[in-house]
Amino acid sequence: MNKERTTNEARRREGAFRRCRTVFTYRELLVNLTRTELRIKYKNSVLGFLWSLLNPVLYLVVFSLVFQEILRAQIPRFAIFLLSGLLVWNFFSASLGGGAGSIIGNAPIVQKVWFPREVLPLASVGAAMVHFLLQAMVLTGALLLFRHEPDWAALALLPLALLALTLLAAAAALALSVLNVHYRDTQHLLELVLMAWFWLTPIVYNHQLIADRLGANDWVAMLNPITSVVLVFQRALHNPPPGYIPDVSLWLYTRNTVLLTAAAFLLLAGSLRLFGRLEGDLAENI
Amino acid sequence: MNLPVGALEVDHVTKTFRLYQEQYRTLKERALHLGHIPFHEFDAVHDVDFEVRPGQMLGLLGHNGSGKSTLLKCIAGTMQPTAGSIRLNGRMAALLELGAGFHPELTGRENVFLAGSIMGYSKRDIGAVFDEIVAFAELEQFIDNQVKHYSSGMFARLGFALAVNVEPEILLIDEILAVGDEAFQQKCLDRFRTFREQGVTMIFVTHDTDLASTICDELVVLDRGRMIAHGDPVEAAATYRRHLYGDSAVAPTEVTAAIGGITFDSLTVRVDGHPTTTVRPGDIVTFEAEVTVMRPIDDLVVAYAIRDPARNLVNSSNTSLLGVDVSSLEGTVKVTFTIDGLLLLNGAYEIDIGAHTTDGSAVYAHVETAARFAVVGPSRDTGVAHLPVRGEVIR
Repeated sequence: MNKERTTNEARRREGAFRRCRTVFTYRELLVNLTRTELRIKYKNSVLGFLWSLLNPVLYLVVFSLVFQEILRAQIPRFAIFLLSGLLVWNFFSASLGGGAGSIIGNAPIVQKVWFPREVLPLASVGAAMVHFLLQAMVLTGALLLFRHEPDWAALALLPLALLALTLLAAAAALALSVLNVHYRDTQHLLELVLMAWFWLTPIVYNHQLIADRLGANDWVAMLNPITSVVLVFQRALHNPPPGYIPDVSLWLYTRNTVLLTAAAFLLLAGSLRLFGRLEGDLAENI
Repeated sequence: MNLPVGALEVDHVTKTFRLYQEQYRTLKERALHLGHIPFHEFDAVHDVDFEVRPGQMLGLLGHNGSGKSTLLKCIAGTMQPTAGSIRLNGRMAALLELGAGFHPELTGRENVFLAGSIMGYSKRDIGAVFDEIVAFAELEQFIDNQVKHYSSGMFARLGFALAVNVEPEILLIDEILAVGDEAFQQKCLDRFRTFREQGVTMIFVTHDTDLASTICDELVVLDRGRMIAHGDPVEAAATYRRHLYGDSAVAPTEVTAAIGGITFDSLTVRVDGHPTTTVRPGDIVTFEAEVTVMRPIDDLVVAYAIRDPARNLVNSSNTSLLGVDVSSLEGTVKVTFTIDGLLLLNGAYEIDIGAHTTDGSAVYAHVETAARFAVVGPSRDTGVAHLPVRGEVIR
């Protein structure tokens, strides 16, 4: 019920916690908008959801050809290595790309009806999550096909890594969605940033190549939060022999993921604050 | 301090817009023009303050650009006031734009649930009234079609049906009666009547003075963002009309049109000899046309027509019917038509003036809306004819 909104005051500021609670009462809208986004994307297409499976399969074929056959990458089972990282990246970049345009794309509703606007970018994250799950099926299929065994112990760490990733994606999508209303070239800038970011993340190459170059300064590479998540996924699903990703104990991976999750929570809180500051005059600037 | 359910309080609300000479929207432009983007501010709504009691139907009256839609957006929560606050208690439904939130690619059914959840209703809430919504919109056969195939009328009907069937406690209505055919409009009005009996608070935004003063309990009149009247609908509507058309003499509309040797120089509305634009029912009203005739025309007739804002004919007559001979006229003269007791109801009217042959085969001059006047009176009847009516019960 929209009983939640009983006052509309000048310079109204609500804390991150209250905002989350309001979004929670509108969770059904979040589900509906996510469903709509997916439904619209594949409406009138013959293959429907198969398209989102085709994307990773195609990546798999092209990148495997280029890196394994032409560039002679030394990573064993390159296809699975690539998919593990790509799964993470696709989720993150789709969330940001969709989130950035989510408020402008829904201008008619934003100008006419009140509801917590956070729901719009979060629905983009939701839609990206559904694609993530579909692509995870492709990866599972590949694991079965190659009869490749994952690292069962590290697999337990995946839910936490996914949580951190989701929080990061949500924080970024929220911030980008409002910034894009005020600065229209955010969206174009984002495309460039995402391109660079992709190649800075060890997805098509393995982390150790970078770490060796950096030597004692290898912590610099870990400043990229997506790297931590990708490494967990690679460790768990690709389960490479020693020498490709950091050969540290699972405990260290766990510690890193926990720290990342905590940082992601802080980022999300900050992002919600920014959203609150900028959302007041959304309807006028849209 | 808690408000009773259905109450709404607009507390000294001001909404200021910044008008930029240029809109710098991109980072590059912002960087280039850092700190010195020229703009001026203006108050779309200025210090508006009123309360709406539960079950009341409040009319928000004002012409285009008076700030009424901005105020409504603040109430609906899509805009934040620059100063002041709005407090309300109750489930609110807004008929700001019918079918806002409908997605063209989705079916009518999917859209009802989606738009419902945008309004804050759960699937269960909507499911419980779904059949009523479809029946009210008269879209039983089309509900599973994509709404992009709907006509604009069907689209609006579905939007309206959704908003009025979810049992709102406060309903915001923004000039939506213009949608749908006459039968559907009647249905909308009936629905508002039912809401009223059920004690639903309604805020109705319009520039139709007649409709507002007939159906509302109270009116708030806005002009250039300021509240110029608040209270009894008949008095507030009269204030609005005086404001709109001016109280004293208005320069007569300059009239020029010549097809064949005749020009109308001016048309003035006079009551008791004084030029005016507001008339009370029963006043003796004179329409005074200044005509220049180049040379006498044998078969000349001068005619007037009173029309309502929709240009429906209210009354028309001419010199031939009234037995006035204008055939020998030459030079600049005044032709007057005097109505001994103008029995029209509240509203805006306009006067056309023309000169033609008796059979109408040749038109020498014709001016549409040569003058306007407004009738302001105490009657709350609807229509155009001011009839002396009584009501009684016979047992």
